[in-house]
Amino acid sequence: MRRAWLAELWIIGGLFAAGVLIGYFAGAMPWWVAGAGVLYAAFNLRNARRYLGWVRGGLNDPPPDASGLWAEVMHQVLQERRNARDAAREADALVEQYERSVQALPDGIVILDADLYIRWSNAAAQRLIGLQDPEDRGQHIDNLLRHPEFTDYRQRGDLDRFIQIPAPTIVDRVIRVGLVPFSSGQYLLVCRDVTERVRIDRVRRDFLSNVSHELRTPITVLGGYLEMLQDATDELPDRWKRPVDAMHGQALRMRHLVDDLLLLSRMESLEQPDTREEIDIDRLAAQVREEAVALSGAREHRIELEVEAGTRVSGSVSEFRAMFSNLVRNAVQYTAEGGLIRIEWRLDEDAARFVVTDEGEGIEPEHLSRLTERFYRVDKGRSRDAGGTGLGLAIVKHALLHYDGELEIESEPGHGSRFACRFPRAIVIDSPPAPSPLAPSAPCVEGSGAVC
Amino acid sequence: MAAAEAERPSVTGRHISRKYDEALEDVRTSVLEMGGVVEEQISRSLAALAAFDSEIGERVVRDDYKINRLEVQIDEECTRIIALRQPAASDLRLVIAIIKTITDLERMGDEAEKIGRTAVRLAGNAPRRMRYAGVRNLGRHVQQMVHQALDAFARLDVEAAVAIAREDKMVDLEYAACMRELVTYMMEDPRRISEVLDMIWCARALERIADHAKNIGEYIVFLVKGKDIRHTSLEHKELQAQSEV
Repeated sequence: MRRAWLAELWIIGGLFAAGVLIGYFAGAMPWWVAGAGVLYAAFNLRNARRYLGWVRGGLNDPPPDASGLWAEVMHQVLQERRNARDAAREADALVEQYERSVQALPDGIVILDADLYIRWSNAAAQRLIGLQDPEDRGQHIDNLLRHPEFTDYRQRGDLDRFIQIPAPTIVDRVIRVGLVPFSSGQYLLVCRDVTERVRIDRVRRDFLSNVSHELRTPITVLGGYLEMLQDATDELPDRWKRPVDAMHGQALRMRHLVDDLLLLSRMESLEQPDTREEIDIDRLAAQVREEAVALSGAREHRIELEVEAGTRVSGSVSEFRAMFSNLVRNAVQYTAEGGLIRIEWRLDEDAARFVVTDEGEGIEPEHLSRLTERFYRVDKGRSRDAGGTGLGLAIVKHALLHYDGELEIESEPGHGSRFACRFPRAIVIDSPPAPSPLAPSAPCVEGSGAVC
Repeated sequence: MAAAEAERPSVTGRHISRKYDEALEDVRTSVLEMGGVVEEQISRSLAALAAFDSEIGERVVRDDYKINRLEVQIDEECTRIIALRQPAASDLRLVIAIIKTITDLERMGDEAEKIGRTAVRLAGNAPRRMRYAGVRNLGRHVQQMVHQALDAFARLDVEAAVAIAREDKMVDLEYAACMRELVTYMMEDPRRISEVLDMIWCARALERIADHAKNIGEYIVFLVKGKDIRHTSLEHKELQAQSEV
């Protein structure tokens, strides 16, 4: 750098000195000095022109000869260009590496623009969805992924949940597909072959339901004969009475267990309610309360019911009954004698809730997340005494899934628990039922809003 | 983002009016959406038939209205485009091809409904999985054909469209073989004649679906090449598909 300036100064100095020297001998010194200035300017202009030509030519020709500052400028420009080239090459290598790693992913990836037109896809996506790259770039994804469930999913915009659909081009394969938004309003479509998982799930479910089914008959036969034995009081020696009672009790429990297992596997195998009918929540809740009172028996729980008359939802009666009675039965089982149990139906802007609150012993927070697992026991000894099957909450959870609902559990050890089935508001039928001329118009006297 | 918009290649081409482009592309996408529903209906009807499952069969019968509704919607949209835009040349061919395609799709839906109805009727009988292997294979083949036809429509792929006509020949052969198989069953066990007759109707419905898929392939050639290849030999179709526009 310094050298370049020095060389430049030498040129200026030389020219000036030459001007002065010639002017000294030949006279008219100012003219000669000015002449040296003009010469210098001309020299610079010529270099500038050559330099400009070189830059315009894309720096591809060898740089023009120059000395002094111009040489330095050209040197710097060449250096910069070399750096930029290296950086670009590095960036290209990086991009290529990314592309190759995405290409190698076992999951299918399709990059979609904001309007869901295809921009790029990897090999797995091409195989699973049957895309062709690059021919399919610029197609709307709906044009090639036409399954109605995907169209629904896309239009609904509920992107958190992936969906399972049959693979469009491969026979008997199931894929899981979902959209993931990423930078600048684009989307990634992610898909994966889940055939194996779906198959294993089905085998497991079938096994469970087959086993339960096979167990049912022997248990029924055992229970029937044990009941006969119980009834034959005069023929049965006294010392056999207790064992027979106990056996009958266990046979009954086994039957409940098998029934619950069957119910659960049935619910698991469906994705939506088996039927859609109008259900009178108030009537159903009143029935469930009756059962609870019967179950409570001598333990005399106070069971309150608060459901607005005329509340109706659309769903499957058997599923709603299963949900309600399991929650209420649990409350009865885990609440001390004479304790209070409230059954309510609450409606707000976007959700409807069936709430069961008890004054039981409550549940420690570490158990809450695992309560809906099959056969999960908070306290090993306790629930067996109470006679539950250990499947109740699992049944509730699976039935709720059919309605896009959720089970909410709050509990405080020592103070009681609150179990709520939260349903989307849409299942509630809003229009009032056709008024029956026979319906009593007088308000109910007994209880708060209970059907009497 | 504007640059990215511009670089998106469009299958329907570009017009001065962006709205026009969008309208054409939208109606094309609706046709394929309708195709998706038809595919699903066919696949469900075959599942119902394979297991003699009345539940799935009833669902097929119940859902046929979706296809009809889409047909009416798309038809109206096409009419609107013709009235408002007076399309010419390839746009006009696109609109005409769409109007014809949805008619065929709707008929496919009706055939699927027929199969669903048969499955419901047969639901009482025990399914004999091995017995109707011919019909099942035919169903699978037809399903693939419909999928190929719709893919070709999405990609405006003339070669694939002609390939469908070739497939249709195969399906016709398969259908004939299937018939012979079913007739043998009837002779073997006269008590099952009514059941086998029902299966014959299903095979017939599948063969019809394949014909409709072939028609869609022909519309694609018309749309892209501007040539009518209906009621011509396969060789002629292949020749036309290769020729320049």
